[in-house]
Amino acid sequence: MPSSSHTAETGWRRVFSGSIADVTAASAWVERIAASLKLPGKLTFAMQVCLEELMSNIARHGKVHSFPTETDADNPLSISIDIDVLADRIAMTFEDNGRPFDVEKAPAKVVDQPLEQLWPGGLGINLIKSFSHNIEYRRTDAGNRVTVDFMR
Amino acid sequence: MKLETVDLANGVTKISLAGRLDIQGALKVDGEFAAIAEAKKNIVVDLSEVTFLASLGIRTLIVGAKAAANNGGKLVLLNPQPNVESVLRSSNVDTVMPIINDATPLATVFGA
Repeated sequence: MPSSSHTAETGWRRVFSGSIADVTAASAWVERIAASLKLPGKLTFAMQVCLEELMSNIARHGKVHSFPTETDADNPLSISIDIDVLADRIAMTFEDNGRPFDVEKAPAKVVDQPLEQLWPGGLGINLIKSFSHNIEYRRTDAGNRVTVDFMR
Repeated sequence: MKLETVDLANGVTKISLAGRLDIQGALKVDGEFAAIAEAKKNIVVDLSEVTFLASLGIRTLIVGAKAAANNGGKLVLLNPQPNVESVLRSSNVDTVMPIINDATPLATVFGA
């Protein structure tokens, strides 16, 4: 089950599993926070796009863990999300214990082939970069840390 | 995520989607959407009731468009909401699946 906390009026934190159901739960959580902050619909949508793409990447590809001595059962996938409300922007920080993936350096693929030659996937990184104003990746001892910023 | 299908005139099939075409929504409709696209030629996908679109939802649409093209036809996208349209255009999806609205004559789109 996700755990949740709310720090004063400046930020929220919640921990999710790497399940598909929790991707949807996290999106609903962000929508509730955005509504409480009275954020514009376009900004709320952008936050949900980035959350969806980052979390679904982790849920689908993150299950080989960083530490070879641990198995998935011993160390299930965990994704924490911090939402910090700053004067000029909203910062969403994702930390997961999955395998390394530098989303900041990953290529932003778009549709650039005719249908016959097009491989139908891999468009998520471009969406993250298109719908956020800044993205920063850092590999930590615990896993991956990604911060995406949205100007207010 | 809901999916409804209706056959229009001139061999055009309309698939109406409603809800969030996110990872969960895409997984729910992928099989049915692909099966319809493989069985039909010219397809209009009504996106007017789709409130959210993720990359996996785009994948669903591209798989359908490839199937329609394999049948010698075309798949077009009808009336996306502005946020959904921004996802489509930022991915260049409109270069392989035309985005149309109610004012666009289907005969012009499909040459039917």
